[in-house]
Amino acid sequence: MKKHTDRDSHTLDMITREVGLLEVADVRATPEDMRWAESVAASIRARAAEHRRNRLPKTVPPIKKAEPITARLRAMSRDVLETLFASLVEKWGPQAQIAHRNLGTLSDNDLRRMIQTIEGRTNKE
Amino acid sequence: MQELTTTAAATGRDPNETAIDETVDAFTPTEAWIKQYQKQATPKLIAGLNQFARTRGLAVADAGRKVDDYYARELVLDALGDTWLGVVRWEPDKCSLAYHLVRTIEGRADKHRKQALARPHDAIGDDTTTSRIAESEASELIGDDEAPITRVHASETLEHVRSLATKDKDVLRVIAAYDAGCETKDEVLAHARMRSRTYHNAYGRLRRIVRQLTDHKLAIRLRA
Repeated sequence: MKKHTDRDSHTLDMITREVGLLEVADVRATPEDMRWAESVAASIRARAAEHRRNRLPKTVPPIKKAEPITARLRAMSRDVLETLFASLVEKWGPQAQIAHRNLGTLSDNDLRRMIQTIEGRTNKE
Repeated sequence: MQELTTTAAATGRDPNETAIDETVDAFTPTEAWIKQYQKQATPKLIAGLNQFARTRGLAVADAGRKVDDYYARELVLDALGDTWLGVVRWEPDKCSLAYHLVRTIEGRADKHRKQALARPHDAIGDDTTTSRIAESEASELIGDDEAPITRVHASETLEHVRSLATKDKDVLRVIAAYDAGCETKDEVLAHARMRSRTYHNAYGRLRRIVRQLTDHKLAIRLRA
């Protein structure tokens, strides 16, 4: 406990502080104050969104078009494609990570595209 | 070489202000920081902070500064904005946004209070007791720095609090404990020989009284 030179100022300071903290912990705002608070929160969200937009790269890298499926793969039937895919998986092992193990969910063209991608990558290496 | 002259005291400028501005490094909030800021800055928190600023504004008003609801809102907006800009640093893993903003608003309100006490000012035309006195005595005051200017003091506000709590013994005991120099809840409980529950109930009623005074003092008055 301290002896304060300005007793009334100290008392008022303590009361307004404690009551103020109570106001933050247990909010009882008027409808008008609540509307104002909601508008401030909305402006915070808008400012954050603007900040995020500003952080995006100004120039978007050009979208690379997929190369057309080669005539060789187009000529292959489903069975041949599946066999070829299995041989590629076996050949490259864990080096070729493929998301599709259940080939039944892929169309023939999806399978051709995947094989072409694997062959393209592995040929480069 | 000419000596530097400090004019801050005469002009009312904060001598540390420039130094503070120069030391602020560029602050770029990270995505994690933004998420925390956005998550915690809820309308409920902002409304609570506004009420906190209004209550603390009562002490600032008693020091002689003109304070209204816009002043309280400005304190909240400045604290939020300066936190976003990094003028006042908030580290989400060290404390909550509520705690940080309460401390910021409190610090600034205290600064305004001290400034008002150091440089009292009564504006003519504010329709307050002090301004009316200032108006009636204006001609006498000109050129007479020694003339005392009556201001609204903390003692008057406390008298209002006491008169509104006239039959509430527990509230009066809490006020008496502060008068005796208590600074913490534990000190008040020990001094007033009061239970924690009684203390909290008393504060609930004291809150209504303070809010009544705050609403009256901070009401936005129409100007002619």
